[in-house]
Amino acid sequence: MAESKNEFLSFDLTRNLKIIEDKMKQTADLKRRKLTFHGKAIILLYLDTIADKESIELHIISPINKQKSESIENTLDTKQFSIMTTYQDISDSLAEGNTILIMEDCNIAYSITTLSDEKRAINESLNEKVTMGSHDGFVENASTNISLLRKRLRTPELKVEYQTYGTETNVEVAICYLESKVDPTVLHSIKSRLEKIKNEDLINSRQIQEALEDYPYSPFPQSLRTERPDRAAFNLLNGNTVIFLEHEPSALITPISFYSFLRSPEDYNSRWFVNFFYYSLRLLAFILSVTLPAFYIAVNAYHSAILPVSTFYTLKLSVLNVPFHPFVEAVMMQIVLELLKEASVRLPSAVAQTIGTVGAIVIGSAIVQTNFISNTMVVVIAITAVSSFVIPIGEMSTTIRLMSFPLIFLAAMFGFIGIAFGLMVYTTHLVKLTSAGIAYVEAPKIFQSFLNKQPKNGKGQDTNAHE
Amino acid sequence: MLTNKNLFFLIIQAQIGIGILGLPYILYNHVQQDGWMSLLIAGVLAQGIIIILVALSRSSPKETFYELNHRLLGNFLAKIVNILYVLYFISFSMLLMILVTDVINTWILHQTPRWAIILMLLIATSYIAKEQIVTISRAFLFFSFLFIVLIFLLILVYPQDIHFGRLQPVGSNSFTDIVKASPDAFVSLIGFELILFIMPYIKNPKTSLKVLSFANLFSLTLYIFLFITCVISFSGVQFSLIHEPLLYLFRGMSFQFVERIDIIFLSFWIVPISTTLVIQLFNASLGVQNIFSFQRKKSVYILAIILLCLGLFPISFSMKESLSSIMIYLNIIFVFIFPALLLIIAKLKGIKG
Repeated sequence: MAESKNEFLSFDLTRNLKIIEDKMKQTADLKRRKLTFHGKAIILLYLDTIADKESIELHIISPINKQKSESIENTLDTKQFSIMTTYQDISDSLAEGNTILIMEDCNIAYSITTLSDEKRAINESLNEKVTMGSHDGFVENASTNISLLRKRLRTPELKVEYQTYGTETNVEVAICYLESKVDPTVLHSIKSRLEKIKNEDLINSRQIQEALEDYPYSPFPQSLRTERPDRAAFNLLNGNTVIFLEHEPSALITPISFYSFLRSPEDYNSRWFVNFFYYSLRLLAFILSVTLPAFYIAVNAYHSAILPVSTFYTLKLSVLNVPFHPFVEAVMMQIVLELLKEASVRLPSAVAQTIGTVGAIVIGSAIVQTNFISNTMVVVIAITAVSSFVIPIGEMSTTIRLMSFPLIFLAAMFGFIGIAFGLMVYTTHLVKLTSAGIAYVEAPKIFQSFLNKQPKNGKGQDTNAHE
Repeated sequence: MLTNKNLFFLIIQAQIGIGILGLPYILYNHVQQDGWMSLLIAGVLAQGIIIILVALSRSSPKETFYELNHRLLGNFLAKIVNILYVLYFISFSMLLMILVTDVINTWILHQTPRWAIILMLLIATSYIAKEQIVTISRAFLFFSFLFIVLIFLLILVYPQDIHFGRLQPVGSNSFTDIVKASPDAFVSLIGFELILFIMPYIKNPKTSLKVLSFANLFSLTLYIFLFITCVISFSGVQFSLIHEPLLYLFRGMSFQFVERIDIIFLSFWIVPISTTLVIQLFNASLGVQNIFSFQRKKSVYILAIILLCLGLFPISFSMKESLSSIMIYLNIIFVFIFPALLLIIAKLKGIKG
């Protein structure tokens, strides 16, 4: 049998068909259709699960039956087709959804594009909603996604590079960037990182993310996954690179700065002080969701002295009948909250509303009445959760919520000092991180203006912080 | 590479630390309200030393101090000197850890054992110290936010019960007394010796003297401001009783929502104190790397384990007192006298500055 990769087609039609069918492992959805063209037998081969039958009928079968022209090439010229000579090419092409046309006494085959285009319509992204701004979102088709970008950036500078990854999946990855804005060294490092996973079978974009990350063990996402074309276009203009994986309704943006995760495209659509207010609000939300439970525990367990007398009594009254240490309380409440959140994501939306009610009324108030968890703790955890949901990017929001756990532990051990040490380590970790070789967290620019009057170097990096 | 901004924050974070808590008490008990003059003298001394250190490290900007020793003193002597320096940094860190744990035990965590605090301190500081110097300096920049908080809190003291008259009479102590008190003040300004070890990482070594002088000026101004604020707030009798005047200053303040600012302040002031320790660990780890040719990351861990073991020993009050008085002289030897000698040797050997 034909095992060699480069074996060519022979003139024997039956032998050709047999080898191709063996190559396709006798799969049941490989359909064969026999036609005649000027007295010669023609065989059409296609996988009826992914080939578009209507298009085959319209663009291949009917012109052949009409026998418009003498040669098969001229008959088919309305459709895009290519010429194949080896069995390997033919089977690959079949797997991609193309239709193969083989003629009697002929050692070439024609591959005609007939992939059925079952696209999802462009809808609003569910995970990154805005009230102002465009409402289109990425879909599971890379070329549609790129067209959404091209509509926003009508310039020849926008360059797209396709590469195929994996030995089994053969999935396409598109790298898009603005040639005039991108930093060539950064681009080179991104490409060389992607080169390493050339043979990996890509199923989801996390695999690309992992290859791009400098610190895969860090809890913080180092490339931004967005479903919004306006965000992607904005980042392209800043000199960042956007990567699409076919069948994945999101774009990966890299390099990215930490501050970008606190930004929503809506901000740029608002007046400057609204923009400023919401940005500050999200910064506050970030700080609150990381430190608030830890702070509360430290105050409750160690430093009640810092409270004025009236507040002190309120606090002590609320924890009076609770049998647990504040640390246990906080962890219990955080876990209950995560359970509720996870349950409402998994359930169909109609049932998810019930979970909301159960969470709010049954767990929220009943848990306080039974004195398992104090009122103040419920308030603290609720504020923490709400603050973390304010973060526009889901990945970052979860990370931040989970980052509060180590601080809770440290606060229960050492009080404020534990929090101070925890924050010190967090800051150092964040400062250490790089995204495609570019610093993840830059210092606020205030210091730079009066201490370091150097010309800004490198494209793209400076704009990140404001974005 | 370190920019001027990075260098500035590295130096001020290395200088300012635990000294800020007790310095006014020590100075006041020596020379009363004239302490600021001792501070000025210490500042001028520090400035002189900075000039020497920069001149020395500029004589070969591509080498750290430890490598420079090898070239100037020969391998054998250099090895001894380098080991002495590592020991100096270890004992400095040790004193620092003892002082920190004492303050924490007195003010915040009365029951927590010393080793637990030291363990946490060492985990946090070695996590930072194992990073590259650029990362360390960028992290320090974020920590410097606390200096703004300190200055803000000090300004809040002014509307309270203060008497500027307590600064008078100016110069009631003899000049020799004032000079004698300056080594105590000088200890708080230590930290700029870092320049010897980071010269190869600096982007533009030409401006390093200017940056270091600015950093020194910043620290000195902060200390003088602090000292004056303490003097005008406390009477002489109070001063002789309180070892940490700064914390008492904040203890007196209260707001609508918060009381006992001192506890919150001290808890977070741990960060600038730790940065001093980070710098010591960094300096020492470079030495260990040079002597035993370990990886620097590994040397940081080794040093942290040594310090942890030392911290496990019970430390009596007299030991602490003698260690801190010895350190005053060791500081002057290792930061001033020895580099000065080395600079002379370098000049004699005819290396271009």
